Amino acid sequence: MDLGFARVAVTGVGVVSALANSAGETFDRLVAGHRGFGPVSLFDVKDLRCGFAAEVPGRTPSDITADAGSGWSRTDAMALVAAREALAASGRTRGDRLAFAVGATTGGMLEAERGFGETGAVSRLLSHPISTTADLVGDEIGAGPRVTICSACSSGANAIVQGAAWIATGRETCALVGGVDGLCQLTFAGFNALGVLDRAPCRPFDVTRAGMSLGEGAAFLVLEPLDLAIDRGARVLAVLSGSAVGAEAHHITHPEPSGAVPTRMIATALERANLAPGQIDYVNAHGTGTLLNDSAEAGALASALGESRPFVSSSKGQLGHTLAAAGAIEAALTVMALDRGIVPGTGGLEQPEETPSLRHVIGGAVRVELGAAMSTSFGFGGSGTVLVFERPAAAAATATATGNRRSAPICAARVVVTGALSMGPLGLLDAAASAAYVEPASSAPGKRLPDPELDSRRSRRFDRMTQLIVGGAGRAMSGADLDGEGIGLVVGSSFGNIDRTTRFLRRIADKGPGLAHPAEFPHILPSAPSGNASIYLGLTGPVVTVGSLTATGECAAAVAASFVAAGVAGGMIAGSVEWQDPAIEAAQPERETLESGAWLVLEDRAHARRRGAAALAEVVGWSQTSREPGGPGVSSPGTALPSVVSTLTDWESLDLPGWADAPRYSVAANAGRHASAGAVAMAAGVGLIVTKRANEVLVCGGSTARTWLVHLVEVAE
Amino acid sequence: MDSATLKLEIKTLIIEELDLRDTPPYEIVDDDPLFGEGLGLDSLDALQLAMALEERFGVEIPEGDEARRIFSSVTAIATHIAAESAA
Repeated sequence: MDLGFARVAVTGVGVVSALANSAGETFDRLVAGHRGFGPVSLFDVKDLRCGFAAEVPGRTPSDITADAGSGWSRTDAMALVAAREALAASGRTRGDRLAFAVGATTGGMLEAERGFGETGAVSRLLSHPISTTADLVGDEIGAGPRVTICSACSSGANAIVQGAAWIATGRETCALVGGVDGLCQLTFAGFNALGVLDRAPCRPFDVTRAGMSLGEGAAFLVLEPLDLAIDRGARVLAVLSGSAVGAEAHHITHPEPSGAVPTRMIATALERANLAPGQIDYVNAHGTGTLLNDSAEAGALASALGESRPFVSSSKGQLGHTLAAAGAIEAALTVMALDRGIVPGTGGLEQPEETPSLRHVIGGAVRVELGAAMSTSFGFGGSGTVLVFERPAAAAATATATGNRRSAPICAARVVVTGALSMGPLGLLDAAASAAYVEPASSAPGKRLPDPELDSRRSRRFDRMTQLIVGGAGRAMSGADLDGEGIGLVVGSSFGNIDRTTRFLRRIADKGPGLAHPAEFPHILPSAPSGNASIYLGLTGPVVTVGSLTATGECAAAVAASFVAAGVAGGMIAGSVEWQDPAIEAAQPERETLESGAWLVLEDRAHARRRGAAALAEVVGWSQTSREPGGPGVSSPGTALPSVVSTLTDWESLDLPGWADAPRYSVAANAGRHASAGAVAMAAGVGLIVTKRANEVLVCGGSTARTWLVHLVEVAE
Repeated sequence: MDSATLKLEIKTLIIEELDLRDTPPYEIVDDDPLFGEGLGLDSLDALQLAMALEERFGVEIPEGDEARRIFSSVTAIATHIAAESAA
């Protein structure tokens, strides 16, 4: 299914950057040529290649906003400021249902690493799980469903894709989506060790460029269905008319030099937006200033956009590389460029490399009317995202020309499960056998899983968590007879690898930031397991990591289902694992850890049919009930044999309209206690349907305050 | 330290630092290329190895083309360390 996002309107943007605490001022200063770099004040940069960054003013969270609560990180505070600005600009009424997607990588690492440095206590590294920002800010702004997405430097752009998927498939009517990343010593020392920090402020696309400069910030966009936005009289800043998400499956840090995958992604995004290459007037490029990124990206832009010479600029020469926030900040700037008819220049660029078909913006901003513009993001692990925005007037013209009616009924692909497996104390089980985890008798003691069979050379940098993830996802793929071309992956991981992160930080504490381990750094980012899995398994679709504490497994399935329903990918693998993290075990011996995990293969029904794959079940609904108005967003059962499968222990009080009389099964405690519990519940739910014990299953988990729901039904032939 | 001992120590360091646990030291041939083909090492490994060699042997590993020459084989690394230590 080739589904554009033609009906997704942007009605508000909010930005926090080193230049200003608002979108409008950030854009004005960008256009005026200001650069946000100054000496790093937040942590020790002794013996590093460079000692400057584009810091957001304010040492503490409450310096950034007086509304920051105790226990907040600077990252949380930046996110709140940008989120509120975007919501206010959109003119939405507080209290209406709002879905919230946050792109994040290091979250509260600055505060966590300081606490760890002072006390040496591993518990300090557990204090800011990646979903914290979405939870704290989500409560402040009254958000309902919350998703946290990490795909390194494309995280913010992928959160926007999640939002567009919600709107385009009619699952949500308003989404606040974007990204946030605060500077911390871990990332600064890590990029320094990789030798990619320029000693002077970065010069994207310049022949003399010598690396990137780091920054921090946040940005959020309000997305709504275009017709509803117009009906309520909102000012539509732009239409998000197309996107593409993919992975190179090449290397954990290096872009593949030919730029073939980004070239293909740009073409796909244009196709979905119903635009010809020559219709793109401006590209806000990823443009980091590194030798490898900029040459691969310029090549991809030139070959995908033809000879039309669009304006190209990178905002990183002025804002620095803001990592998880970059895709969202640059999307917001692209929207403002369209809305205002101003193309910002590239700070630091004087002499671009010869690329005749691109028009680099040198020596200041250009005032010009724009019809359509593109924002590109590429991250570690080879994951990339391309977003296409149009001015509302231009979007209407494209729609008329192509006969694409904007008020057409909601269009979404049907999502089927074509594979499921669990790995736990009962062994490696297929879907049918996984139903055993709803039996109390299955409560055999949890134990260590067998080592996955992986090529030792290709997996030499994998930690045990990554081995289990790659092994499990690989088994799910081969079980469903699927190859990786165009297929994506959602890995659920609520804390990442604390053991490996602890060792990385101890070395910095003992030997100084200048001696951080270069080869370790890319493997401790939250997106490392999904990136490594994509490279090992050859997955070239959307590849992300998500976290939602005890509902992580269900959340991974829900994000994958959204992406398939919206046509972002034809198929996605989704799941999570728990493993015995030595650092957590040492710090909290009373906490019983076990090893388990489960994986689903979700496909567009048309995709599955084309390749002759049998569907085990259909996913017809998914949502999160977290104190939001508007109910669970999952329909009542419509068959004779419904069942509820839950990982909750205190779920008697959970209000599930229509499902009150359905038999309820609890998933055995040895199937997972945290990140993987929901994934095993998903596999068990598919198992109940496959074994005809139920016609449909509602999987629900997490906690009563943050329950994720996934509705599975048997497949009607 | 004699040359054979130094080379064995370099090989052990390579195995530890570059997560080549399944590779015994004798499988790393003194004069074979380390990067690209050979052991399949990449520039991330080069950064890691440079840091480890600097720490262990107290020698400076320059960046760029010179590093490429030094890292061409175990023998070349040993020669560089011996020369730096003698200087």
